[in-house]
Amino acid sequence: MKRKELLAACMGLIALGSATAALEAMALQDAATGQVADPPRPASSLTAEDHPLDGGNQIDLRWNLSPDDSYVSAKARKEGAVKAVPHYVVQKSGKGATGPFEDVSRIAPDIWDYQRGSMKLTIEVERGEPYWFRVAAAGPGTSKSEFIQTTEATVAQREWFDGGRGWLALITVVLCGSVVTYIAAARRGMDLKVRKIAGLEAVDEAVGRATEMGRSVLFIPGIQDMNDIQTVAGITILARVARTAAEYDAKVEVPTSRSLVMTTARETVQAAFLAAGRPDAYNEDNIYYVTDEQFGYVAYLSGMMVREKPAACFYMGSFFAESLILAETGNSIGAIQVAGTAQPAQLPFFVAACDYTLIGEEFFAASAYLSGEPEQLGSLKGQDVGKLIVAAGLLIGCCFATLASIVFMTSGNEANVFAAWARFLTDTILQ
Amino acid sequence: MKRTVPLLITAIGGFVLIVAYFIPATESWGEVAAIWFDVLASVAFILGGGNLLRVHLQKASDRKPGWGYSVITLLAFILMLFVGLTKWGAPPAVNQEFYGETFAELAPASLPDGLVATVEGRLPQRQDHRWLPASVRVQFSHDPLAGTISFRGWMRPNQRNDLLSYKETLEWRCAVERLYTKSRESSLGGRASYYADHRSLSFRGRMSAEDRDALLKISGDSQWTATVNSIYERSQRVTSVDIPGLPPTLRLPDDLAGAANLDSQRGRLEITGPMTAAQREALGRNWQMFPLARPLDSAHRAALLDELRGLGPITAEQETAFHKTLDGSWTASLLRTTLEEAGKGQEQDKTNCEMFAELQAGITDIKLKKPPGPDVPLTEAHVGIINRFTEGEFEDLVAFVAAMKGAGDFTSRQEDAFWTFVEKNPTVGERDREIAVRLLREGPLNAAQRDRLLSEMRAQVAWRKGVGELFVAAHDVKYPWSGEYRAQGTPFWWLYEYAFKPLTATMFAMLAFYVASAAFRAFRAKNLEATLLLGTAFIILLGRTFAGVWLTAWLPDAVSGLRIEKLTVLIMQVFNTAGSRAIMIGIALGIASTSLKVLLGVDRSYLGSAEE
Repeated sequence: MKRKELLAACMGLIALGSATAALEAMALQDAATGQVADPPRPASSLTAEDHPLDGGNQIDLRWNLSPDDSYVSAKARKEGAVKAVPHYVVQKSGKGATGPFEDVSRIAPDIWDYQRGSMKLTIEVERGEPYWFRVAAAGPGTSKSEFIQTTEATVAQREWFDGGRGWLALITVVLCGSVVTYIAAARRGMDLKVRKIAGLEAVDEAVGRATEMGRSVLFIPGIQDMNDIQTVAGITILARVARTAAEYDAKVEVPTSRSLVMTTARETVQAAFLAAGRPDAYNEDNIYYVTDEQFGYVAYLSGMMVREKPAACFYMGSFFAESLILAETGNSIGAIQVAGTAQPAQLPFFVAACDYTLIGEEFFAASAYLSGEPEQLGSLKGQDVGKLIVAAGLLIGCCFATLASIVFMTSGNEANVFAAWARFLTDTILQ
Repeated sequence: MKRTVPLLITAIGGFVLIVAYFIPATESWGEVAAIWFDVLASVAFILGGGNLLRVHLQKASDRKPGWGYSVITLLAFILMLFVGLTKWGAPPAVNQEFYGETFAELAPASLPDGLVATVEGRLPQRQDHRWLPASVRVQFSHDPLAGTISFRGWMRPNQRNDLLSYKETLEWRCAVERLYTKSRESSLGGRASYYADHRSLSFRGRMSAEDRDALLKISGDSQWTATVNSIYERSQRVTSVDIPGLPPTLRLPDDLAGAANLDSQRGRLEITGPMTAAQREALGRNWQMFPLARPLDSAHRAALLDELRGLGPITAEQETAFHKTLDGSWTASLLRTTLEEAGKGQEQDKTNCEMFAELQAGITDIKLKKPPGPDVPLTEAHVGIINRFTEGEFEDLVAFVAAMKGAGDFTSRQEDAFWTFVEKNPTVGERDREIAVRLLREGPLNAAQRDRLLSEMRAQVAWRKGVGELFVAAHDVKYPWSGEYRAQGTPFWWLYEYAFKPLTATMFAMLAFYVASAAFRAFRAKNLEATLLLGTAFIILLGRTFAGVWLTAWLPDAVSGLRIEKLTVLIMQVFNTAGSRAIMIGIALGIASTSLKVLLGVDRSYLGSAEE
């Protein structure tokens, strides 16, 4: 029964789309049916307004299309149909209503413009300066209609908020809000569970193995600076590795490719040794700068790994082409290897060559996972809300795109209502 | 406190960046925050360098295992630091040197009042309160009460353009144009300049005694006089270069004789004062010394071919190539078309003052351009002169232009088009070299034949090289340390190109072998998932090779989707994209959550401990 209802609903939606499309198709003329005189009749109702909610450097122009301008489908164009108005000439003057005007754009309407019967164009201008605009419909060859012109000067003003990023702001508020809400709920005692992450469970095992073998632990925090969030996440895991090493009395070596990462890592390891009650065991010379140069860094690390043969290698941070060289070298010396990165292109290499890999979000969840603090675990729950929103957006977007294709195939109208919604989703919300 | 301060800095910096992204008025805050990070990172680099020295010195001193590598690292570090910091061998920056000009220091306040140009006009207000362009702030002034604007010194074209772009109104632009014209009245044809940001008076080319006197007339101030005299004395310096291989008969044309002197017997070229770019161009490609190649008719071609045959054998293929090369030469009709095109009436830009006058006259549709003037077609007499020129008459190209002018209307645009035509088409030396290259492609030429065809070009190249060397030698270097440390030919560049880059490329090349060893382990078919992975990898690998296409090309169109190259595309675009996007979404959410925790101070573990 439910399946039938679902099927009926889908069919109904398709029928709605088709009906809308048929009405829209009636509104669209095919230029192939009639040629117009040269030059075309002018556009009409030109207006210029300050672009709402921007930095004050844009003005929106709107005008009704020339009566001679009509939609020519791609199929008709292939068959030789010619548009009576190939494009519109848009001119701007910052000197006065009498000009001189200079070309700022030559723009052709798209199918959505034909559906509305009007066009919109956003022009870049200087903030606070007056501008006048005029538009002419271009005909075949060099001919063009009379210009229509704005009567008043338009001035772009800066607003307090960038409206073009409004949807992003909303999504940010929802995501951050859910993270903050769950952190607060966790502080109030909400019960939270996190699935086991094998890579993080293996930290103790790896450090323990190094201790047993009497060899060092090598920690590589990637090749990016401290302004990269992956480096911050890597340093977070270093704190745990260093604390475990301090407890087991193992040596942790951290060669870095950035000076700031070196100083941060020193602070982190020193605090970890202090927290473990072994401040005397801390040796800052084990955390040192090598070079900023990618392959110079790799050459040093590869040589050092082959010579000193650390028992455990951690690769936590942002990696590029060096990921596989490091992981394969570590593999060749028999070290237990744990990697974590948010570089999707490097994940397959780490998965192939390391014993454990923290894939994407697991890497960022490490801090919460290792600390076990309720407020940090709450942030993971907040992330789940984000995943739900993304999943819903994916589902809705796929439905719109699929239905738009079906309607296009059945009615031949690509500017149908589902395509409009899909366009709104991709061009406005996710721009 | 040790933890609180970094937390505060992080939180404030992070929130500033977020706010700057959404609120236009605070956009610059984000830029400032980013600059602060760069400053911090630069300072930290010194820390890193110091640490590197300490670690490796200690390792070498203690003779720890691998200390030899430390010694090499230290030596390389010090060597690169030395050649990089000293900019050893790096030429000064071209955009800082003002080639062809002589500088003498002069404070803006010391510019004489006689150099202040004033015209009627008002500085317009801008709603965004933008400052005047930095290039004119020192020299430009305005008097709102008197309704005048003034400029101290000679306004340069870039300063004029900066002022024009300050406001678009025709009234302002016209006032700027008038100020520009007035300020340059005493600039001796634009050769005298003042650079406020360099605090220097400048003179382009050699300053003659007349030029000096004209400048001294502007003011009797002692500082001004001393500055002008300083430039005059320095611009009398004579510089010379030796140019071997020049024909002894080579003479400088009369119009360049004042700019430079050539002693062709000794092969020495000399110039007084700095050489300007225009002088370098005029000397380097001179039609009187290296004449334009005219199209050769059959008689001349036969003569040249016979001359070459007289020096050695020429094959039938070489003869064909010889004629093909000469067939590509310019023709009389090409020159005629060029001059006819240049004679057509062209639209010309109006000045801002012309447009402003139209505005005041009440014209409602002001155009940017003037209507095109009448066409100036070539007459029969012109065509006759062109034909004679093509056949080899008028060795003196100036005489050709004079003949064209004498035969009827011949505009300056047409004259310019002719000189451009001369510049674009090959000289006799260039034509002969082209013949030599084409003949050598078809067969051998003996030494005598090569010398016959290339001697003219050799002299031309030697001459241009000599002119270039003289241009650099005659220059008075102003900022010797301004060059790019990685400039081509410097020791730093050499070390970077021939030591550093091959070494890093070697490291990168090792990746190919590591990929093979990792793939061997990853694709071992020990269970169902691994078998699927192996199968997919096999399809992708095959699909990216020619073999893949060849293996399944036989499949009919009805099942063409099963062809390996199409399966590869399907796997990469659908399955691979879906998987990587899922990971990307998780990463994006993780980054947002982690950033928020860091900003709010919930996660302090990157500082070493959650506790204060």
